[in-house]
Amino acid sequence: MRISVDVGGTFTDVVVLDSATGTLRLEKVETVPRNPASGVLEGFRKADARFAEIDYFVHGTTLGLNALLTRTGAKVAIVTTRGFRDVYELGRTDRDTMYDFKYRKPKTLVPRHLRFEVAERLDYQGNVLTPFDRDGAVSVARQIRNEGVRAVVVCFLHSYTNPAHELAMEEVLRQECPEVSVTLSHRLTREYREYERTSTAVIDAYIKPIMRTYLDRLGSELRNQGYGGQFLLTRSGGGAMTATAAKEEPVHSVMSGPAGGAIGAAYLAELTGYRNLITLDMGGTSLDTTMVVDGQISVENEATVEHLPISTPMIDIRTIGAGGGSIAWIDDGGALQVGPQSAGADPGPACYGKGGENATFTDAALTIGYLDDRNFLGGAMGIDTSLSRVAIERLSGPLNLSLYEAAAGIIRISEAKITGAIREISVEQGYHPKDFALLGFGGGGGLVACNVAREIGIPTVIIPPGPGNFSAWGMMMVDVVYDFAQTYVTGLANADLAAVNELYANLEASGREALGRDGFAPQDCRFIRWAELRYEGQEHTVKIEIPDGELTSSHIPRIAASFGDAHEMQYGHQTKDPVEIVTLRVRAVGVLPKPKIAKLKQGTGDAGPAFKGSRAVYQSTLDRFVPYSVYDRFKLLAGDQVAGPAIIEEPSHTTVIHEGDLATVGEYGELVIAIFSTKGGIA
Amino acid sequence: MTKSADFTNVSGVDKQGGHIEVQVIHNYLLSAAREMMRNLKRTAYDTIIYEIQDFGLGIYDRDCRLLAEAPGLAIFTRGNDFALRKMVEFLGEENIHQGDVILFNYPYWSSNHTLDVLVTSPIFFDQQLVGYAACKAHWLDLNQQDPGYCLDTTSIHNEGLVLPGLKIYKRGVRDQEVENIIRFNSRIPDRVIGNMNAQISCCRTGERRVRELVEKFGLETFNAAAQEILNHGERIARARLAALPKGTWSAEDWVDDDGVDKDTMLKIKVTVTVTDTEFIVDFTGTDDAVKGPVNLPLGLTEGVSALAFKALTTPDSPANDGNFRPLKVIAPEVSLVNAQPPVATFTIWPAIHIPEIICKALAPAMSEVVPACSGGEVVSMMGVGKHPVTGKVWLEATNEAVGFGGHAGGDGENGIMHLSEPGCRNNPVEVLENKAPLLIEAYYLRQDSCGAGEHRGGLGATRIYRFTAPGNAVTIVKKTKTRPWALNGGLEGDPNHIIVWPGTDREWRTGAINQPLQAGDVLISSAGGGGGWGNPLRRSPDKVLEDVRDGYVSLESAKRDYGVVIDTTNWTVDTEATAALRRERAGA
Repeated sequence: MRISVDVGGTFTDVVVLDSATGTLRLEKVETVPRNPASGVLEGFRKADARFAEIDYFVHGTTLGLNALLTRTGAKVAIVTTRGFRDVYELGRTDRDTMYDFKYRKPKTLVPRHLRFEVAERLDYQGNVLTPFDRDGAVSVARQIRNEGVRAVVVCFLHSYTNPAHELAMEEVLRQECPEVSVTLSHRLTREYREYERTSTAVIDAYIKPIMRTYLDRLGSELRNQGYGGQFLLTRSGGGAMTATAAKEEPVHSVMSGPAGGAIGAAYLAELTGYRNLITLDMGGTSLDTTMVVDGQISVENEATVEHLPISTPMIDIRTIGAGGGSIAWIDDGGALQVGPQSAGADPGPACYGKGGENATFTDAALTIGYLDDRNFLGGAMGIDTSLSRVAIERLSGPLNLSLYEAAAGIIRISEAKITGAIREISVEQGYHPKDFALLGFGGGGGLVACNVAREIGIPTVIIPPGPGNFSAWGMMMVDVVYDFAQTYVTGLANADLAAVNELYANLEASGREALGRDGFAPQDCRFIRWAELRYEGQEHTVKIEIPDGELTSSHIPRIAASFGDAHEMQYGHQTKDPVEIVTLRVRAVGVLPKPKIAKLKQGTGDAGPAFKGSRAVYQSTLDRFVPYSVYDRFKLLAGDQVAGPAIIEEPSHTTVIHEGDLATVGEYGELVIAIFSTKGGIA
Repeated sequence: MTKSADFTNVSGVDKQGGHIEVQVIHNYLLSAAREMMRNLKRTAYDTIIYEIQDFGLGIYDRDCRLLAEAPGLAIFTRGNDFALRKMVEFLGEENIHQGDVILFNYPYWSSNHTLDVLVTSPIFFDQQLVGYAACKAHWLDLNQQDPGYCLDTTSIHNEGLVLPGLKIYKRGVRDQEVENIIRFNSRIPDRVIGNMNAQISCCRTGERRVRELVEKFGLETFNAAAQEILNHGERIARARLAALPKGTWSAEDWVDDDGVDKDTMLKIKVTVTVTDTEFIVDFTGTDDAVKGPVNLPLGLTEGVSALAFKALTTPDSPANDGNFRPLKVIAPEVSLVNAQPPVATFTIWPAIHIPEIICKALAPAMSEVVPACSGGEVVSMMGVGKHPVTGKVWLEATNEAVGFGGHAGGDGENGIMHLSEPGCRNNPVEVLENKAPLLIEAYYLRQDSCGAGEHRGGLGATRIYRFTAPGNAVTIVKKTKTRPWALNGGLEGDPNHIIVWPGTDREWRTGAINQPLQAGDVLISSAGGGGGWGNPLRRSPDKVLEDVRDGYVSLESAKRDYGVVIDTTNWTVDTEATAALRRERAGA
């Protein structure tokens, strides 16, 4: 048995998979913000999971992220090179807002009086210009002790190339204040850019005490219940890490929650043969989108979380304020707008009856007939459509629109925003949307996926089984992953290959050691090498895969050529400029056995037995209601076909298929929807 | 107040759902502009485009009115609109054809110096001109007088190659002769052509997206929606204008010098009149045009005025031409803010000052709205030389972060890029040292550089450079001789300044220079702190304590400027001594 538990802001999703039969059980319980561990255990109980029979527990948590958002992490101090304590506050000095003369940066995690300097200095090659001042360091450590700090970050200039001074500082801190946790910047990333490296280390230190307490508590509760299997956490850059590793380097858990969706998408890509996917995960407050290209999750190395950079690999997830709770409003110029403000879970959309007066996307979807008030969360949650109407009428009156025009307008404007975001994420990396399928999940993915795909020119929409719990489902499919990187700036043509080989060997040795600690046998370990290259003089780099084993001069032309191709793909051109290496990367993968996924029983092709009736859906182009056939997804069998206009319902999700679209149930229960296009019919 | 602009009455759009259609088309245009931006950043050759965001781009209707833009350099706001109109006027609309791509950098018309080149694709649908996709970006070199940047040119004739509406594509066919002219008039031709190609690809993206849009909705609907987008932009601006106080106010400020005559400061005078229907910025009283390159093209003067107007009225919505309909700019032709050929326009730094001078003028009437002066401008430091290890020419630059001005709502931010360049990032120490023979000795927020106030200014940043090989330091800065002003009884901030050879008998405090330095020479670049807002004696002593504890404010300044006495043994405010000191100050 395997279990995965994805703790979200409102709900905790649980998936239990019987490894022998491949059958799934999906559950949702309410998240307990004050004591998330108890919510997780409640999830185990609700799913009737027998602790002793589970071998793998994979967990996604937003605990670390929430600590960042709400600024409730630990008191952290920074120790840095003399002359540079403001690097952390200055950051990169830029901002997103164009016209704000009173802009304030987000509140800093480390106030200036907790940023300390020690005399020491390396040059860019790691040579010592000023030796480490041990006496000064001792005095700094004592000040830190007196401040009652719980976590310390050490980030010295150029430590990515020579960590000796950071290690010396660690030793001083261990002696002087053994009770504080220490994060050395070079252990998390061996890449240059002092602000990004400091920020990465600060985030790690900031959430470390919270994550340790939580994982310790949850781990011991599980043991008390008789659990003896693996305890894994999904990782921001894809894959998973053991709870033990997460306690050491919690920075990798920041995007643990949304990572499940991307991991699941990559697995589904293999399973279904749709190897290029764009995800559309529409939740209550926002919408996440990411890409799977040729079965691989798209990972970026310069991510930010809440404007704070993290220079460890992160799944490239874009978020826009277009969720079920996104609020519709009228601006000062009299135009209808949707989002980015959200009614969240509380008070939530007007129809929840919790006092929310604003019309939201969900209210609009109810009003035009996309959603059924009797079937919201499988009927588990009572909602009131009349409250939605009242909220939308507050907007439709001033706009001189009918109630239904306004409601349909809210949906259309949301779709336009989502369409823009998805088109931008794909084309900016040089891809054409027609080569992708759109994977819709989360609470609202199926409501908008078909129209969004049509608008962008994506020929196929896929709605996975259990779309409301898809992130938790995805977590089942993880391998254990460690990422290592080393900045090493050198010309490619005349690179010292012995040095490069040695650096790769060192990175792999670190990976082998980490996987060994987790109990992986050598035959279950895989290593992937990359190099980030660029044209000399440029700042942006392109990551390309590097072959295994000893690099020789005969590899160089091939590496240069694949860099040129990748650069052309991503940036539209190649040049004759010399190429340089910037960063070497190794991903160490501990391969876990994959669960068997049950296939759905083959049907006759006739969806008739799943037919529940029909529902009127308002069509803005016709300005009238049109009947949509409603189907029960749980009664659909493999091979069954449903032609639009139709609605396919299941407890936590609704899929809307329009005129001309054709859904076919795949062998694992996924809905594969061919999208009708006026240009060429369905694909 | 609201002008009648009922979209449902516009022909070409059915009444039902027309409103929604406009919003869908508007969102599409904004997304198309962002896609142009991503395309430009993705394909550009230079750091200056994707790190400093030295570009401005947008989608225009047939009458050269901006429909949608993407975030770039704020100082480019609206400058392109002026340039596009001038270009179409110069070429004649009838001579613009489908498939053309046009290059334009004649400063007096193109709203920036020669190195900011506007690239435009006209958009046609069914043989009809529908609009334009345009993108201006910085080109590294067009054979201007000095490599990198010019501080003392005296006419357009030493500011590089002029491209007066030259077509690099004619009806879809690339003109190799035009490319050759550019190639043979640049010190770094491959980079320049590379960036031009990125701009072309960016404009083509906009062109393609708009054509798709017209195809989908029909030309009539598109045109009607475009007009409603502009009317909507105007309605928001007018609603916000209505909330501003009415009247006429003036302010002036000083540019260090023109780069040639180093001893004469130059006055910029702004008179702002706000009425029920107009926001008039009048530069009458500004000094006449000068010999050196600090004269501003009219389009740039209008653009930076528009930047201030936008920030004061509609900072929260995407810019379009409608936003600016209530704005009127008066710039006398003899003045340095309306450059006439052949005066030099290379060092456009005074343009950076103008949005804040407009705020300064409005301050008496809007002291609750406008902030005190920030550090005042972008403090740019560029190093050029031959790298001793690689033997190649190196050129690295970074813009230093100023403090923002205090304002009624709170303190100014510390160490932040000037308001004219919000997306611009600094160059990290470790990156600089990897690329250039420089050793950064320190990089920090300068204590007490903030103007004291009930809401104090932000601190400016200082970076200390030691050259480890011979090279030239080029500093671009034009507001070092006057201090960032305060408001409402606050104190002024510490101004921008450059110090060369500090601590030696040659120590030299200066501003804009192009100075050869030897290995071991030190240069300190300091960006100004923001001015304070409100009487510092009214600042909460606890906040002063916090600032002293964090080292932003010295113990001496706490006492001298804020009248706060702090006991550093246990980090508390000496309440009695503070009360006594403040009483004494208030009486004095």
